[in-house]
Amino acid sequence: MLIFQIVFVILVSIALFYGVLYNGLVTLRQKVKEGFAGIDIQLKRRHDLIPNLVETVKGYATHEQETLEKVTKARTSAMGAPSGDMKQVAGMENMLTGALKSIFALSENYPDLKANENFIELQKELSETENQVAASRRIYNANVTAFNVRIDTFPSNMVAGAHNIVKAEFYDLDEEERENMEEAPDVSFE
Amino acid sequence: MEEEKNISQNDDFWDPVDSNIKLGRFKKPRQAMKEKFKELQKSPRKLKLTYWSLVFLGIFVWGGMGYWSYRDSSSSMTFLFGGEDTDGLFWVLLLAWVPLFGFMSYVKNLQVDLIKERIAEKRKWVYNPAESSRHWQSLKTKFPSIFAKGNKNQNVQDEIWGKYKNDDQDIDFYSGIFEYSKESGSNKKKHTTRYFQTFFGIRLNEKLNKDLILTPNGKIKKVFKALLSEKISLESVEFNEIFSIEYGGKTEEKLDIFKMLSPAVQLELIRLGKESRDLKILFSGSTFLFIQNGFLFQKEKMNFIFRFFIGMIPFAKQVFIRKMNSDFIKKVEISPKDEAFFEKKITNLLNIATEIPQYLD
Repeated sequence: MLIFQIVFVILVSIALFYGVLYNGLVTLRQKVKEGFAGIDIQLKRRHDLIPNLVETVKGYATHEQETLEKVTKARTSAMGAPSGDMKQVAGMENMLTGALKSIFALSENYPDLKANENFIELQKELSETENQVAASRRIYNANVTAFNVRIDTFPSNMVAGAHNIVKAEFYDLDEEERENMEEAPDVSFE
Repeated sequence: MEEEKNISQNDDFWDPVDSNIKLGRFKKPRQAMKEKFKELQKSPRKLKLTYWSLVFLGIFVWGGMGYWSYRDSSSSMTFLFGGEDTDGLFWVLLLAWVPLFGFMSYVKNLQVDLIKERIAEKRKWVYNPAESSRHWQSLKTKFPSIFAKGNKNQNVQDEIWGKYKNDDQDIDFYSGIFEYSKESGSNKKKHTTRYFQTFFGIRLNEKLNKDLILTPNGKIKKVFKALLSEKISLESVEFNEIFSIEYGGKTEEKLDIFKMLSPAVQLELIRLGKESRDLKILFSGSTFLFIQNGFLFQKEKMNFIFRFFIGMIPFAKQVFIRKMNSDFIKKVEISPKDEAFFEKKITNLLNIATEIPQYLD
């Protein structure tokens, strides 16, 4: 009887431990999704600001049709990128960032545009959104790191394998993040 | 967010609870401190002499106790352990060193105050080395979640009012040390423990719609947090590990919190949380306030039990402070290394903290 009781306690403990590990993985996977949703919100905010910007610039820089078209095209492509495909989303958004930079660069040639209040306000809002996109991306990548490390390490790797929980993809690392990822940690046995 | 009048003028310094502070305020205590320093520089042997006299006093009392115990063990043991007062040994051994403790505390305190005074003078900040229980009362009324603590000797000290430049913007701040004591036990066995917390307040240009407190997640809290469902959690795993969010609890307020603690704010708060220990953060009206246990220049590793017992010893507060290069007993001089270290510590925190208001929505 005692043996049965011991075996029962051991089995219950294993089941509880397994449950905690599984829940931990699921929570982290959820956080990765929330992190990506965070990027998505900021990107949508950016997409919404662009038509206003293009309209404002049009009024002053009539000879810059090509640049404006490039921005509009980049925006349409970015909005159409499949949200599950991290690489494609990041690639399209990077193109849009480049196109936006060219708009702000051309404003240097149009003093009236540069002094326009609406343009200044839009520029400020876009710059703020850019900061928020960068922050969201960092949070997402940090969440992915935490999730992937959990999947790789024992004993969570066994639970992840059993439930087919796979690693998440990073969202286009920036310079600093890439350096952090590439740098091997210093290990000392002293 | 509601717009708030910009009250900051060149020689006026923002205070979260009182009217603005003028640059020349607290001239007297600051001057008195500088005079004291000059006086000590003129007669450096005075400090050395006092120090060694108190060391010998301690040795003499301990030696006397040892000799007495050796000569008449029964009577001394009755005095120390017998009768109703079983704390005898503890108090005699401790009291022998209290004068030295008090003296060392005074010297170290003066060193720290002088360093702060120099930094304040260099950066054109206002500094008050004195203790103020009146200002604590006002702070307690406005920010009870932070300052309504203890049941004895509550005050704020080492206050600094200043402006800090970040991205070409002058940001007003106010900082200080909050001291409070907790008295516990019955009439005969009363114990008083002193606590010190360092706080920084930053003035926001606009008034926030929502008051919010972020409390640190200790090791025990982390374990429970993993088991219990969280009331509110943000998208950053790291942020949720460092802080818990306390708010009114209403569902509609959650949205305001998510909006306010945007990704950029979360990242800056994580940075701030890593820079300080046990950081508690309050967003209230047009003030962003954060408070940490102990001193800003505290020793890096401080055992919790040791901290508790040290808190019971009178004059022992400066024991917490890290080893300094300046040592008035050896030479009455402030080391530039200490000044640079203190300044770096203050500006590091201000650098991060003053980033936060620009991302608040």
